Amino acid sequence: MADLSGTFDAATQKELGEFVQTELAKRRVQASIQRFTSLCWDNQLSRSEESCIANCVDRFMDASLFIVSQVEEKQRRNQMS
Amino acid sequence: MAAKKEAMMRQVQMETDVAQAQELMNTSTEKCFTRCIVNPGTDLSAKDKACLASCFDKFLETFNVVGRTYTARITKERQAQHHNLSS
Repeated sequence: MADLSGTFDAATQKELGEFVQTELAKRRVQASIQRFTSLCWDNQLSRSEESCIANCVDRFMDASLFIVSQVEEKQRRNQMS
Repeated sequence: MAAKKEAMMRQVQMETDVAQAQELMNTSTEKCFTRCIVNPGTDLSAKDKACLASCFDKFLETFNVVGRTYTARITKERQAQHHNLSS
């Protein structure tokens, strides 16, 4: 990032840094929304009712959390053996 | 300096919005091209245009539903996490 030390005082630099972090977090959420839109669009070619799309997003999240729990389970089992 | 700071924030926000809109345009064009223009001819027929228009509307609708569902879901997950940590 550009050096802003000459332009802004420390407090303002901190504020700007936090602002950029928030913007990046928003951008990550937006990127996920774009990704799910693309995925769920391909997933239901003919049906596009709201509930189908909502189910697609929620089941993807379930699947994602499930995979994470599977990985944790495997790690636990590896540690025990 | 406050004005400079606000200008900078506006700039960042605007660039983020533009990037987001461009991505949405690119994806919807690709998806609707694939769906509507199966055999590219010498020009876009009226039927092609009608298909593209309705496809684009549907894509935006899908985007909005996904946005609502996803934000509701991450809010719920975050609350569950808070609950687990505090109990």
